[in-house]
Parts: sequence; C-alpha cells; structure tokens
Amino acid sequence: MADQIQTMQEQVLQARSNGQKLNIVGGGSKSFMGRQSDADASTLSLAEHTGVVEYHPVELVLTVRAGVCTLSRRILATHPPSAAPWPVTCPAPPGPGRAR
Amino acid sequence: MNTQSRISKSRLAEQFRAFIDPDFVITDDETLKPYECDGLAMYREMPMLVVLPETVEQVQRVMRICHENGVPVVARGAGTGLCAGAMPHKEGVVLSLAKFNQILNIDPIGRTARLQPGVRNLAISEEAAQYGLYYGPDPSSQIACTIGGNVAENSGGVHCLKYGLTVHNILSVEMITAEGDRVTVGSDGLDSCGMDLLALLTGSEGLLGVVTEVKVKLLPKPEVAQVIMAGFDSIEKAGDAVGGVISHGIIPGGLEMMDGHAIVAADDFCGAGYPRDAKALLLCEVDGTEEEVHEHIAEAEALFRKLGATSIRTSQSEEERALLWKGRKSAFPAVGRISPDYYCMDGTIPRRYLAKVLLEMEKMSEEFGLRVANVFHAGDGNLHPLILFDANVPGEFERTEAFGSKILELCVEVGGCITGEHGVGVEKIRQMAVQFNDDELQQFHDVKAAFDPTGILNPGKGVPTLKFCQEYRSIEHKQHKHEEADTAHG
Repeated sequence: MADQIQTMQEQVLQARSNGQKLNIVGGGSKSFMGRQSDADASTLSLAEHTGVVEYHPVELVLTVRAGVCTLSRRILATHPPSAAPWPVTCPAPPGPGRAR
Repeated sequence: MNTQSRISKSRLAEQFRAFIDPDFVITDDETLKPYECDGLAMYREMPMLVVLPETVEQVQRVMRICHENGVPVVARGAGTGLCAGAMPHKEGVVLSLAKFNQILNIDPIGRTARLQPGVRNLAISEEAAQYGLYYGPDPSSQIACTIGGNVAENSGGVHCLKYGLTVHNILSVEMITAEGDRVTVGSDGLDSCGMDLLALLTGSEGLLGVVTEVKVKLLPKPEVAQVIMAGFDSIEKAGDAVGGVISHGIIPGGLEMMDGHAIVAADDFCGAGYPRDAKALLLCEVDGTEEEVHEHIAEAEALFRKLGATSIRTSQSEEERALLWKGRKSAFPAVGRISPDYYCMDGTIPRRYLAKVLLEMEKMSEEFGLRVANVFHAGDGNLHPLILFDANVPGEFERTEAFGSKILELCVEVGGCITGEHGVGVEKIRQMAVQFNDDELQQFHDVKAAFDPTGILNPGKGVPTLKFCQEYRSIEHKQHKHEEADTAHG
C-alpha cells in the first residue's frame, strides 16, 4: 500500500527534460498481445502504486491508486478496507495459452 | 476565437434560400421571437436569422456557408434546455433540427434505435414499447425534449441513478463539423478503439459539432416496479435515509426527495396523498424481477422505519404507483402556483452531504429573503433547488441569481459540481471559474479549438474566457474580504 506519486512524478519530469520515451505498465496482463514498446523507452511502472485513497459506501465509490489489481478492487468493493484481506496477492499476468 | 461575420443578413438569407424552402429561412422579428430563448427564459437574445433545414446535406451547406463567412451557429432542438445553451447569438444563425423527427430504425434483437436528432425523448420509449423495450434517460421534459438536445446536455432524469445518463445509453452519433464535414463517432460495439470521442461530444453543448443522427441503447422493461413513499420530520433524517438505502446495497430505479414547500404544493396540485406535515419526503422506486422487487421493498421499508420515517406507504398497484409519481412529476408546475416566478438551479453533491447542504440552503434562504423549494434526484445527489421570486419586483431576479450562485459554490465546496444535467450554457458560465482553474479551462479551450478553430459553434457558452474568470474570482475575493471585515466589526 504505497503512494508512489512523487517517484513517478520525478520520473516523468526527468524523462521530459531528457526527451526520453516512457512505456507505462500496470499489471502487464496484456503484454503478450503484441503491443511492442519502443526499445529506447524506459518503463514507468504503476504496479507498486497501490492502496485505498477513499472508501464511501454511501456514494458507491471506492478510490484506489492505479496499481491496485482488479481482484483487489472486487474484494474492496464488498468489504470495508479495514476488514478486507489486504494485501491481496494478485495473480501473475496471463500469457498466451494460459488460463485467463 | 472571436467570430466576426463577413456577410450581411440579407445576403446570408439569400444564400440559404437557394437550397432551403424559403418559408423556413426566417428573418422577420415576429417569427424570430419564439427562438430568442430556450427553457431558461430569463436569458434572451434575438438571432440574426433562423433556418430549419430538412436534410443532412442542407445542414452541411448551412455549416459551410457559416464557416466561410465567420457566422456563429447555435444548434437548437426543442428549446427545452435550462441553461440558456440554445440562446441565440445576436449576429448568428439558429440552426433548428426540429424537422429531423424520424425514428429511422428499431432493432429489437440488438436493442438499439437509430434516431434523427429531433425525435422526442418520450417518443423513443413509446415506439420501443411494442418490443417490451424502452430508452433509459428520462428528463422531466421528456414529453418535449429531443434526443439531439439530450446528447448536447448529457441529460439524465429520475432513472439515471440506476440506468445512467445519456453518455451511458448511446452507441454512436453522426455529426456535422464546423467546416461542414459529415462524421460518425462511436460504433455498434460496447467499446471503440482510439480515444473516447463519443464521451467528449456528449454534453459538449453544441460547441464541437451539430448532431444529425444518434444510435441509442434500449433496455428491457422491468417485470415489476413498486414505489415506497416515506415521510420524515426532518431533512437530516431523509438525507441520511438516502445514503442508508444505497449503502445497504439497493440501487433504486429512482430515489427522489421533496421538501416541505414542495410536498404541500404538489399535494395541492394533484392530490397525491402526500404526508402534508412531513418536512421531507422520499419516493424510492425499486424495479426488476418479482422476487428482487419483493425482497428489496421489504428491506427498504425496514430501513426507512429504522432511520426515522414518520409515515410509509408502498404502492400496491400500477395506478397507485402512478399517483405517487404524479405529485413528483407535477412538482415544478405546482410550485409555479405558489410563486409568480421560480428559478430552477442544478448542482450535484456527494450523497453524504445532502443534509448539510440542504440545511445550509435554508440558512441562505433566510439571508437572501427568498423562499426555496427542493424537488430533486436525491439518489445521485443531483439538487434542483427552486428559488421562488417575483420578477416584477425590481432587483429580485438579481438577488435570486446571487442566491443561486452561492448554492452552486456550496456544491463545489463539498466536492460536487455546478451542474448535474442542465449544463453550463450561459447560466453557469461564471461558476466555471469556481469549479476549474485556469490550466483546466485552457485545456477546454484547446479541445474546442481542435474541433472548431474559428469558434463559430455556439460561441460564448460553456467555457468562459480566462480573462473573465480572473475578473470574477477577483470580485468574489473582494466580496469575501468585505464580508469578513463586516463580521469582525459586527
């Protein structure tokens, strides 16, 4: 459960000043589909940018950071964050021929 | 993006009459008069002229001529809008889509309908009823408002809590660009590749293009629907009950609230049998399968009792359900009987602040010396305070506007926004400076310029200039300082 916003912000600003391309990666679950990133791009990973920002069941609203996996979101939607089995172990990204 | 016409009115009319029935190129003041405003009649402007084309090709030619000559164009549906979004430009053309009123196709298997933009919202559901289908968004003006206007304003309605706004219920639109090109945005699939331009166009208030066809999703009619009417002796309890029912996991088809003024006015108007001594009333409709409705109605009734309802009545027949809704649906004209004029505001807040905001509004009502009646979509936090005033009393409308402005600022303060479904238009353009900072507003201007580089589409609406915002914030800041000083000295 970590707010990585500052690290990511620094990485984006540095990439901008260096003219460096960024390949934005979440859970990597679609990487097998063939969308190749530029070889000279560095990776901006959101996987560690996790955690619950706000939980308002009255609003039917759950605000989570971008790296929270779908499974975690489903659990959090039905359990208050304090009662959810956190951290949820997200499944490994599927690949070609693996069950999805 | 200031527009400046390079053609005279007579020359422009002559060009239009070359390809549009001359009877539908309107230039005389008497016939132009009905177009001077939309449903928000406090804001008016006479247009240079009005055209009513009847083919898409004619719309394209109108746009090309206006684009070449720098003539502003304001597209207009039924004119039922409530933010002066269709108020004419004095040097511009009102492009009425009233003649585009055909339902082109209904596909009961795919559950879609292809529509011309001038088709009335209610007519879609009436036509789809033969297949057991209907169209979800149901604004209060649905008897008259058109699907093109619904797209322009991203209209909602009583049932949007469960079934979504217009943006959630359309698949594609065909539109004419500022240059007169015909393009289709969206597709028959649930998702399209590339950026979601359909979402960008929905609610863009005629600033990005003129819609000439819409493909909407249709929904199967629910098996059963029942409505609970629950009276409360305080606004706080009713507000808490709204949050209670939703956080319990019940998503009502509609969840509406009325305050004391509105309850009495509506009951007087149509004899709905509302509890006249209640300070707040909730109408909670549950729809779905028989089992689902039965279970949720029992749970919601128990919840309302637990949360302090002083009276509960649940419809036992379609006639009773219709009667309970009749009061809500006629609440606006009913309020019109207790005041010479009323001004319907539109703002949205997080549901958890309903009670706080309603109580703040009561205080403001005393400060401004103006009554306010509340009839609104409580389930999605979409407020419609009706400020009661008399336009014949000098200065009263200005006071009403100031009161409305404070309500919208309060919505922003608690994390909400300045419009739920009516749009920004001219009416709320000042409050855009409260909702957004200059960087955000500049982004909106950049998007507008990408679609309409010469700025002929509905200029002066929706997005204020940055200079205007800076001046508005400065005035507000000074007023705030004065109020602080008065309080300190008082």
